[in-house]
Amino acid sequence: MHQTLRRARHAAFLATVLLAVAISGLAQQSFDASLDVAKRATVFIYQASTSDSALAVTCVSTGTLISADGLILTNGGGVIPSRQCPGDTLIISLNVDFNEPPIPKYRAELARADAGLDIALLRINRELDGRLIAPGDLPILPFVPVGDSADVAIDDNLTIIGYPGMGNDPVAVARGTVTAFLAEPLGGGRTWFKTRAEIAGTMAGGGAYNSAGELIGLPTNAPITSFGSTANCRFLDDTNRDGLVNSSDHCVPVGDFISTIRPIGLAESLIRGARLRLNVEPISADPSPSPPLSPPSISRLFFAPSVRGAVPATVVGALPANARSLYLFFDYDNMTAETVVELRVTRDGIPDGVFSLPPVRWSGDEQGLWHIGAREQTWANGAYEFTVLIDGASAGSQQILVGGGADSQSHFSDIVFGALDQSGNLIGNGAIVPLGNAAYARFLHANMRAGTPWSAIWYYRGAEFARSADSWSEDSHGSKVISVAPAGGLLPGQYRLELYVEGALSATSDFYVAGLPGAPLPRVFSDLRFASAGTPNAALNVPAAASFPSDIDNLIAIFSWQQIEAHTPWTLRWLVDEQLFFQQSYRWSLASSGADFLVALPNPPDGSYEMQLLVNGLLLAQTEATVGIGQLPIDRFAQFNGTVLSGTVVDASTQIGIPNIAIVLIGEDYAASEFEWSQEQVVDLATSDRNGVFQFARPLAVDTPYSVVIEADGFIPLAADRFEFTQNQPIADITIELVRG
Amino acid sequence: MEFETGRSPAIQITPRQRWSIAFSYALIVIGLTLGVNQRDSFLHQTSQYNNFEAGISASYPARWLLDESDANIFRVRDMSHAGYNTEIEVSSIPVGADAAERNLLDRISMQRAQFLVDYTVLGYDAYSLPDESQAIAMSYSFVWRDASPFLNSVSSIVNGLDILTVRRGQALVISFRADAAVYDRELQTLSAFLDNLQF
Amino acid sequence: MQNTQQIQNQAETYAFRPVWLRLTVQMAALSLIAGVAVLLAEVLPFQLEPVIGRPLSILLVVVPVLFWLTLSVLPEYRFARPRRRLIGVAVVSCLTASAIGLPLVESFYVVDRWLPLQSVFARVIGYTFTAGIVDVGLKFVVLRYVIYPQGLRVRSDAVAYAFAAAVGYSFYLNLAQIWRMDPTWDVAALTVLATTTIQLASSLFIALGLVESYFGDAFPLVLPTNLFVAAIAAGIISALYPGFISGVLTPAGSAARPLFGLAMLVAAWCLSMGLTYFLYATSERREREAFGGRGDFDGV
Repeated sequence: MHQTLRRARHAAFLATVLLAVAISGLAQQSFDASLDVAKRATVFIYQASTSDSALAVTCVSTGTLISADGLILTNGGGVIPSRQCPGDTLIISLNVDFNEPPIPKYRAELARADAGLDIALLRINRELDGRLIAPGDLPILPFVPVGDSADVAIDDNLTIIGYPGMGNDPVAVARGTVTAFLAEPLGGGRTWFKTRAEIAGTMAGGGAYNSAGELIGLPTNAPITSFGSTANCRFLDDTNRDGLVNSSDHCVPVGDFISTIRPIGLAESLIRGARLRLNVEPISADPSPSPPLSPPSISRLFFAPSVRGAVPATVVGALPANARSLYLFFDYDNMTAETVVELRVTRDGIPDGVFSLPPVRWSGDEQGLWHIGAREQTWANGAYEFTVLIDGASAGSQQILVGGGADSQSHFSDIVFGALDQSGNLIGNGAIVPLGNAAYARFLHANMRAGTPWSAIWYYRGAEFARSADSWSEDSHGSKVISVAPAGGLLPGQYRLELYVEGALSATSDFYVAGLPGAPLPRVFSDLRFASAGTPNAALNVPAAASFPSDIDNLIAIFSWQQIEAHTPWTLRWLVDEQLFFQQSYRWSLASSGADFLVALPNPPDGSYEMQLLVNGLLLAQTEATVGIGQLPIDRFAQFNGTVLSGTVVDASTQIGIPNIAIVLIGEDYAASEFEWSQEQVVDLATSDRNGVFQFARPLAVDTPYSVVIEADGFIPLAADRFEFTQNQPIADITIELVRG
Repeated sequence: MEFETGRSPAIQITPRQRWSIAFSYALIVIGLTLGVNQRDSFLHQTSQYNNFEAGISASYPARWLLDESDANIFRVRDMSHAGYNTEIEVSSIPVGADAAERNLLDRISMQRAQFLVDYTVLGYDAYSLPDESQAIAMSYSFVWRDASPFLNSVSSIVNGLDILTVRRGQALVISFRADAAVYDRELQTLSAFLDNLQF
Repeated sequence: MQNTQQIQNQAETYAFRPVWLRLTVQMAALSLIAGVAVLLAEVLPFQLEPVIGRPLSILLVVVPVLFWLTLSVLPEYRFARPRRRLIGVAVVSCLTASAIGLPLVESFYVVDRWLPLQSVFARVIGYTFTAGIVDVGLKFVVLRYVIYPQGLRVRSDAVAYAFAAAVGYSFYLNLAQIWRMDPTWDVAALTVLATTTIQLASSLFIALGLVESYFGDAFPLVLPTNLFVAAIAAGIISALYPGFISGVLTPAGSAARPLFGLAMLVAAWCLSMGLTYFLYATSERREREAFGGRGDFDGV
């Protein structure tokens, strides 16, 4: 009996092991197939400038096709025209043969871009020779599924695909794991993924994939070519036409090895907008603010163990052992999207690769408060030094000690701003205060001993305008409200409060004064409405509506504003079917109050649209409208599911490929014998190339019994019914031998 | 050798044998003629196309792929021909009151030049349709390559002929395109098509 | 007409060669070579380099001619009264194929453009009235003017000369096809066998017609009927052979089936030889019975 049980157990164990092996084998097979698709979808991008009808390469990067209609995701640095990359033409090379360098095939245009995020979306729109590709004439290209970068965890496997050379190497695959997440205000705790995978500089803009073969990020770096350094430059062309290719020519910047991945989640709205071809035009906004005249700089470096929104909860000079979060804060000024920032972290004098941020493009705006750090990750004990470099030069550094006992120092934290209601309670959102006589701040205090000297300094537009100093006379723990009432009342603009304990900065936070008093939020924006007209200005004369018919020329959003000071940052967001497709921050550039601010959305497809207006990250106003049926049309090719059928047609007598043979794929409703040579019956057509190789442009639906007909002059025709593939065959590469008749 | 006892080489064939040979020649001639007939019937086999809405009926080569999905009235392509698939396309375009036939052809050319490689108009000619009505013909050429970027396709030179005639305020354009290497031969197909085209 | 004694004398003086047997041996040898080539190609995991493969393919074209010279022509000259016009018939047939046959089929009938796409039945009819009738007609004309009636001393002469015409005609067809297509050597071997089989089958029926017409002084329609059957035989084999070779298309692809083709060809030449030999022997027996003779009447 025992023996039988033991045997049964052994058999069950063996079956489990075999099943596990089989499942892992299938998973591996599936991943390999996904990898092949990803390699195929990886493109090499030349940015080139045109002069005297000749093209000179100005920048190179890798990109990834993310939709069947030729939408390419890549780093912005290599494709957006800039000082480093001044080109005006984008050439797309496709991965025709995995073992060969890519081949230039098309030209592309910039569909959407965010220079700060260093993400751009390109759309293939021309043949290589410059001819326009007619709508619908672009073959369905292989593309990768976009995954969810929020699901990525530390130690997850990453596969990075890109081109390691300047266009003379085949596509390369690097493997590694996620070693850390780095935080910045732009993307919260997951602004960057760190990895130790060896990723060549030109693979920037390529794809980082999870184990399911989904695109979850872009390897990102920024080459530093300032100070006349040519170390990160490759001279490819005689750009100055002096007959020589030397250091006088424009060089192609190439970054160092990459260790940072930009999560795909940050590009979500850009991708959605580009896919839907939705281009929001903030007509009344200042499209291109003048670049700063002074060089970029940083100041006031300090550390915080946590952040509230984009401001530090408190300010620390040391952290106890087992610290899990640490952020370096600093003020910045005169920054642009072309500024390259780097954070070098050392622990006890030894470079710490995990928490360092290699050179990347600046993703904030021109001036403000910034932070870089990491949370929910172990910071080993030691003396840390954080050095911030701007364009390769040290711009400031700060030190902090991690380790030691629990924190028992007196400190302030969690400053929020607002106004007092009639009962004397602080009300508001913590970040924006309406115009009035006074602003109030509430903060938490801990370990405060009676008599401890503390002070509060208030700043307006960077200049101190009020200060108070006192000895602590309240409880050691709790909250406290303080206020400031400048003569003549609060003016709209940016304010800052710094709280000091015993002369050391203990807490700081910024807020904006804007809008008229309102409940619960200040009334900054009002009279939001949608209208539709042939031109944006004409929309001012038509009545507002909440629903519009299909195929309107423009969907125009109109709003009024009150008491916003120039340079106040504000954010415009658009959503369709509750999904964000546009988000852009601006500095206010109009009069402090006014009406008829216009934002246009040309040619909106059917859907439910919503526009949101934010200041300092706070949603202040929104409005909605529907177009057509109020729902986006279904994109048949949104998913690249099915079997990619390719193969070779060979002459059975010579075993040599036969060119120009048409392979007709007939729909499941017809047998090959029922084929009447009508396009209605045809699902897809493929034609063999000069080597006899063919590939169906669109994937074949799995478990669907297609029929196939091949007829060519001089050969015995072939036909087949029940030509179907299963889920386990993402790629089918077949050989068809035709016999001469 | 002195043992020649078989039939003498000088022996004459009998009238029956002579008839046999004559009949054999006749059989060969008949067979060859039947072969020609068969070749022609297969090569010129047609299918019927009727579009009552547009008032068009035509006979097009059998086993050519009929496509009515585009904006054109219809298009047929020879899918079994290796290389550029010879095609005949019939489309209609609205005609403005002041538009001349040449204007229409020029408009077509301008459109094509956007998308076709090395599109060149070779010339214009008057063209007599089988019903004796007059039309204008524009011949052109361009370079064609298979669209798939992942294949190593070699470009072909394609010759084309647009025959445009205006009827009842609509211009009917019969476009014929074939690989330059077989264009002259394939013109017979166009000619047969036009012979049976009713619109 | 000859009597039995005369026939026996002829057997000694003309030294009747066993035409059918030698023909069978040659076709069997050719089939064996094709079979070995096909099997080797299936077994060997590589293709021969073009520098070896192409000469080998060309050599395979010469093989039927070599067999024929060795087994059919040279032995003639060991006897007192050889069939002197064998080589002449072969050469003229070869030249005819080159000058008229192939150009007519390829350029005039353009069979490549329409026949392969038709149904099997249509292909049989099509090949019969194009390639079949052209081949048969040309070979008949060659035989008519080179050996008819002077070269026909005994019945087997017609078979021997018709086979010579088949060898000469197929030599050029093979050479042209293999030179242009440059097939792999196993396909070349199979192609040589296929062309030879087609030409052999039609030639045998031509021979049968000539025999009936000349030696039997048959009804005038017998010869053209035989020619027609010859064209049909050529049409059937031409139409069926590629169909047998062509594989079945599945989601895994499609591979040619040379072994099927080989089997079909062997069956085709066995069948055509068996059938013609049967008719030939029947006719001969009929004639022998008419004269009350015994024993072998002709060389077998």
